[in-house]
Amino acid sequence: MDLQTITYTFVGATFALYIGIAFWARASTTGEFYVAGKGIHPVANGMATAADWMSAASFISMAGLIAFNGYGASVFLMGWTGGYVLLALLLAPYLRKFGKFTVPEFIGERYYSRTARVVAVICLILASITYVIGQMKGIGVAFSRFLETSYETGLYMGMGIVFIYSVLGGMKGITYTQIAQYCVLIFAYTVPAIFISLNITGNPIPQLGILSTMADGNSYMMDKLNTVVSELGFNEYTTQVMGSKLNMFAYTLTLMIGTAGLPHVIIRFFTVPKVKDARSTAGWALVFIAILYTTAPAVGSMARLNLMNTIQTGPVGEVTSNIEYEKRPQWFKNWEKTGLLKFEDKNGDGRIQYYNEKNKEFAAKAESYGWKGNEMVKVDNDIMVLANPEIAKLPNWVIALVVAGGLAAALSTAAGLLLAIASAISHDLLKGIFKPEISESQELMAGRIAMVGAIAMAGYFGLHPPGFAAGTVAIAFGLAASSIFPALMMGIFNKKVNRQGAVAGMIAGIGITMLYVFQHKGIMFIPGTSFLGDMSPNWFFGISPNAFGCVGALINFAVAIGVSKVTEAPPEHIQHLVEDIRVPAGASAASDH
Amino acid sequence: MEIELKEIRDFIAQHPPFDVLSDEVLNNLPKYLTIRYFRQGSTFPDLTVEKKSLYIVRSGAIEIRDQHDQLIDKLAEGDIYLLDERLDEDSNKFNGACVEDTLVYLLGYSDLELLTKQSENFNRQFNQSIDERLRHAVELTQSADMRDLSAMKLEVNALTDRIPVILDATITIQNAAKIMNDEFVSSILVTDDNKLVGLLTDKDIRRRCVAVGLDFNEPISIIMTSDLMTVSEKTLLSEALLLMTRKKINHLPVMKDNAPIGILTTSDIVRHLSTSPTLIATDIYKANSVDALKRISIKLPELQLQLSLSSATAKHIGEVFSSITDSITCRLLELAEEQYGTPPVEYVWLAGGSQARNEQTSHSDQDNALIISEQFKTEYADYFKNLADFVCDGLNECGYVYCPGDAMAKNIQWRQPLSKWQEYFSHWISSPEPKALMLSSIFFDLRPVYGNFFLFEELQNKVLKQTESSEFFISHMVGNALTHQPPLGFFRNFVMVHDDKHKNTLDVKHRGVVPIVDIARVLALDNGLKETNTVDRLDAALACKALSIEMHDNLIDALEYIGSLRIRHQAKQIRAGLSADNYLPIKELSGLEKNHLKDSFSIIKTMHQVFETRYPSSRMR
Amino acid sequence: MMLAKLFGKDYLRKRLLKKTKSSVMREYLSTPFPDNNDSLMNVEIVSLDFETTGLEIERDNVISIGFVDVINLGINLGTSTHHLIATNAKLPENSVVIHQITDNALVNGESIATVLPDLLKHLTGKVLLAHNAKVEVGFLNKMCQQFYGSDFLIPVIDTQYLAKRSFDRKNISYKSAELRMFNLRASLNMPAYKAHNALMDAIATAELFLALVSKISPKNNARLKDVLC
Repeated sequence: MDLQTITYTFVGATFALYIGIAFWARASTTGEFYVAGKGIHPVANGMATAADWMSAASFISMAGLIAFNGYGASVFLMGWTGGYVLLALLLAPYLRKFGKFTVPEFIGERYYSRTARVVAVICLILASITYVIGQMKGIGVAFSRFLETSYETGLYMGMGIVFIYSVLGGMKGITYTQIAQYCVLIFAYTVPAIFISLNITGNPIPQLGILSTMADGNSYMMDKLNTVVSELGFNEYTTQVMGSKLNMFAYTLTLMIGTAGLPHVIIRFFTVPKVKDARSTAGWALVFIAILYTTAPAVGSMARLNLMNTIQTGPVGEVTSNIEYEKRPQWFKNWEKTGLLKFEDKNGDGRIQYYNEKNKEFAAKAESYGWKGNEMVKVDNDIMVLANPEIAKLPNWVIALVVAGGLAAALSTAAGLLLAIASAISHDLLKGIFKPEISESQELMAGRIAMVGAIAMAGYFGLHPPGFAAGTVAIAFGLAASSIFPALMMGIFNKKVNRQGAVAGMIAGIGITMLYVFQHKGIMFIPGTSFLGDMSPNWFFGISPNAFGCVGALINFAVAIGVSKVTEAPPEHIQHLVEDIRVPAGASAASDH
Repeated sequence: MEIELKEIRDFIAQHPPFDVLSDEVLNNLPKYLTIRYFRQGSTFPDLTVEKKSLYIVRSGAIEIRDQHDQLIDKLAEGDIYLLDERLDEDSNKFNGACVEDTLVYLLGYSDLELLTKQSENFNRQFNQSIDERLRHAVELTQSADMRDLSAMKLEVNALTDRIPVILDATITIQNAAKIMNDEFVSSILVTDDNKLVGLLTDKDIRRRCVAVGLDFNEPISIIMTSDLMTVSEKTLLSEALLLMTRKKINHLPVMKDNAPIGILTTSDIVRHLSTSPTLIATDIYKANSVDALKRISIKLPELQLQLSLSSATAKHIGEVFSSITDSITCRLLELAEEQYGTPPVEYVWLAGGSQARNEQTSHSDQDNALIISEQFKTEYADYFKNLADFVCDGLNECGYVYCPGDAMAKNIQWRQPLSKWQEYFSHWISSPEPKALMLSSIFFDLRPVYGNFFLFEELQNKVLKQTESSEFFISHMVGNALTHQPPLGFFRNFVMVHDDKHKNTLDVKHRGVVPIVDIARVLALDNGLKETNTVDRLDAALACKALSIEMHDNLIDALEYIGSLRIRHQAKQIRAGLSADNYLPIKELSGLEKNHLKDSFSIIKTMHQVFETRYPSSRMR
Repeated sequence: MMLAKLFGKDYLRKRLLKKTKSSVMREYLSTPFPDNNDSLMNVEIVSLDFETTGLEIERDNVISIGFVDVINLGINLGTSTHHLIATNAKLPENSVVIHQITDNALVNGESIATVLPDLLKHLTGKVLLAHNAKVEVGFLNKMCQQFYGSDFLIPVIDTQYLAKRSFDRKNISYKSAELRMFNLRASLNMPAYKAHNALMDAIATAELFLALVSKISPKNNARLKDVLC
């Protein structure tokens, strides 16, 4: 069977599986009486949460980022893991206690203000749509490779699939579908990693492989990688950072606090009825997330090593060490078709030279070899995970599995988010605020239109991306971090913050973050409209736009507290409410008497 | 011109729905009509001629049958029939036939639409949306029941025991009113030369005399209803009822040898039909032992059969049975208090589930609970145990079998002081586990039946305050509600019950009635509404704007329609000597009924989808 | 009548058209009559009724005119028209009783001179339907001669004739009273109209016609020639 057929089979089979499960779950109506204690086991729920959590960005982009940015990319690992912990420990229990778990509901109630609620809804919608863009991009990449078409066509296909999946299908959100998606996803991620780890280091566990010696036993794998990349003028893998230390820190922080507000993740916490189960669900989810996150560095670094070794087959400088373009491997040709990998024979020798031309020292050396610039004009980060098995010459079924896994990751997250967007627009905004008199069927229609609109918008930005997938998502986190997180935190921990403060804070936070992003990345991410250019020297304290969310959050805190000080304090019952939610459940019941 | 067509105008003006039209509209109406003639035996309607029209039968008779050749409607003079090509295929599978030579007036569809635009009242009668079709279908099934009434093969003279008051046409209105007052009647017959010429009712005096300021000394002939319809004493009750419903009249003179022997009124019929529940209730209060109660309760399935044959609505039947259960419960409690002495502290006995919602049918399971006053001391525990055991066992004897989920006062868990109950509810609301949600379908539908009702109100106020503000809890309730999906597949096909015992049936309770009950409960808890009955809850939700009028009407129609099919099915089983269940065999349904049922289910589906978008986490299960 | 049978009414129409000088009549006659083979479904029929001071055409006068169109075998009430005709003649006692029209109303009616052209225009190209049509045709003929100096001509369906024919064909004996509209309608279970005026009678005639046609051709496939006089 050729690769395409296998891929079709795998993708088809996984979809059939999701649909089948959804069908089964819907069809089986529970009887009048449950068997007591029957419910979803925390382990299963943890898997479902993990599937929700791990988006296309986690699956497709993170390893790619690590492959090219090395140690610097660890901000994503730290940020996202930290964010999850933050959410599980700091926010979820209080929100739950409050009884509201859509963030706008909480904010609207806590700040006794429709304006605050509207602002929260809008912030959420903005952040969610940005996040969907990342998913769209991931699906686009996977589809373009799998159908061997251009990235654009892949993206359109992806939009279609997401549309069907979210708008028409009844399978979104069902725990068992999510579990299936998690299994497909994690299997697809770890199997190739195990194979590659075995190939390179002889250790079947990638997490250990990355730390062990090469299969020939001569050197540690990391040392080898460092040598290979630095020989070609790239930064040493393990010491490479993203911008300044401050930027790394800001970036991590932004990712962490940004996750707190994302609706599809918060919602998961409230699907578990018992507090105790909610806790163990969070724990299990962390375990399941960790399986992927800890594999990612191995996948990234081994992919980088394989890529370098494929192109640079021998010592740097020798003519024959660079692979001939005509003899390039099949995967190279495949990815060229998608436009995500480009080669340009600058010196006309018919061979591929891949090196860091920005490194002046090495560029001079390259000149002496007769190299006229880096000939790998484009190597998209996002292709690394998908191309990895091909580069490592793994069997076709592994490659097909990875495609299916990528789709699973993207779909589960996209569907959850679109659902949240539809709900926010149709219920919170339209029915709740602007047109309370609409009928239920109109409300439903509005929700569907909102979903289609969100898909279309995400598709547009997927075509005109403001960066690679994870970067886009990072901005979503930034927006959430600067607007929602501070409002939530102050809502829970500071009873003095009033509605004027909250609204002003949110607007200031998200406003300044967006301004910063736009001035560097283009207004609405449209290329050419940036007035400062996406260049490190123009960055504020060297903080990249993606990492700016935490600064926005600080401003939000400051503005909110400041404004609250000069305006009248919140009403008594709100202050009591805030005090109440921080008291443990039992204590509050006792104080009733 | 109007004057010349007055005869046609007057004919139309007599018949609903045209009777609500203004004079101006009525005067113009004849101009829009076309007259057609159908020979006896010809098919009706003649689809080769016109597609969309309203037919008004001027004379003759038409029978409409469905594809199983089952008579579903019979049109006579003044009846209307709407042929609408928008109805899907199934509905046009009727084959009407003229059983007599028939003359009809046709009103073209565009003109009809014009009329509906002009008159709000008229429009209400002619709204052809899904809801209206349903309502019509409800009527159809009810009259379908009317036709094969073996139990109602009663003649009208059985109900006309009172000799009618007959007055001469020349007597003054005031005198007539006085006589009616003295005789305790609401209607009298009017004769002229010993010939029956009219009927005078309270309403006539009110509407045609007092309201318009007519002189009380005018003769009654001015205000009486003269266009009289009568029945012979041998007429079957069912036929008389059919005639009265059709003509929308409340009084029907009963004739014997051309002389009036009585007046049949709708309230007579209603009284007749509900005599049995009233009788039963009286018997219950006279019963002095559990055995006596048991003997009474044996009659209940028969009562259900009677009620369903008498075209009582599903809501009405639910109310009757719930009140009977209430009576039995109260009597049992009285008997228990007689046996074990006065209660040491106050308590309130609560009905749960369908009884609380006033939606019971004969012999549902028992769901109940007991709230004891805060003055409760442990030494009283035995008293309440005995009391609860007595009542629950008694109910079980009477056919209200023990709750399979053990949600009964017999279970010590559900026989607790007020504070304990508050704790329960707080816990359910903060940790809505599957078990809690199952219990919530029983304990969030609670109604005090006996004892100190204040105990309950205190609990209810607290609970509703909690549910109203807990999106978390509501979302889980929604998730639970969504587990009861209507049996409608992706392609609008029915999803039948799978197990062998009930092959090719629809579980109309769990997948039809329960979903709507669940929807109403969610709306009630979300908005802090105290109502327990599903229709009442929907009304209250409408009043507080939590539900649109459109969805409100649709849900109520769907509930009534599904409920009526369920009751019809159960009546059939009871008649066949089987025990009643909720599995409706698909083959018992006509094409039209299937379609209406699908409409009802799709209304539930729409509401579920709305819930899913409002509470995205609800579907994460 | 003989000529009509031999050549068909349309031939007579053409001949009359050549002779007539009156513009009103010329216009009326210039449209061909419906073809005898036309299906009844497609023929436009005008059910016409006159109320008169008496049945002697020479001496009596028309006092009201009512008509309604029968199209597609349906009576289109939108076309129903009623005219009271002003007349100076004193109404005989019995007539008034029948028609419930008082002298006063007649004085206030329209002039026949204005009504007649409209009526002819309405009848153009159509078939006349009446019960005992010779009254209506006779008065029309008289009036046409009076005002336009021309004979009147139209294809005619007569419900009395149709009823009589069906009795004859079935060899049923009947009294002449049975051919009266009221009795015919009663025998066909049709409602009795209380009001008695030209329009209601025209409508009653039209209904009767529909009933009779359905007896003649149960499948509604009769042709014009099956019902013409």
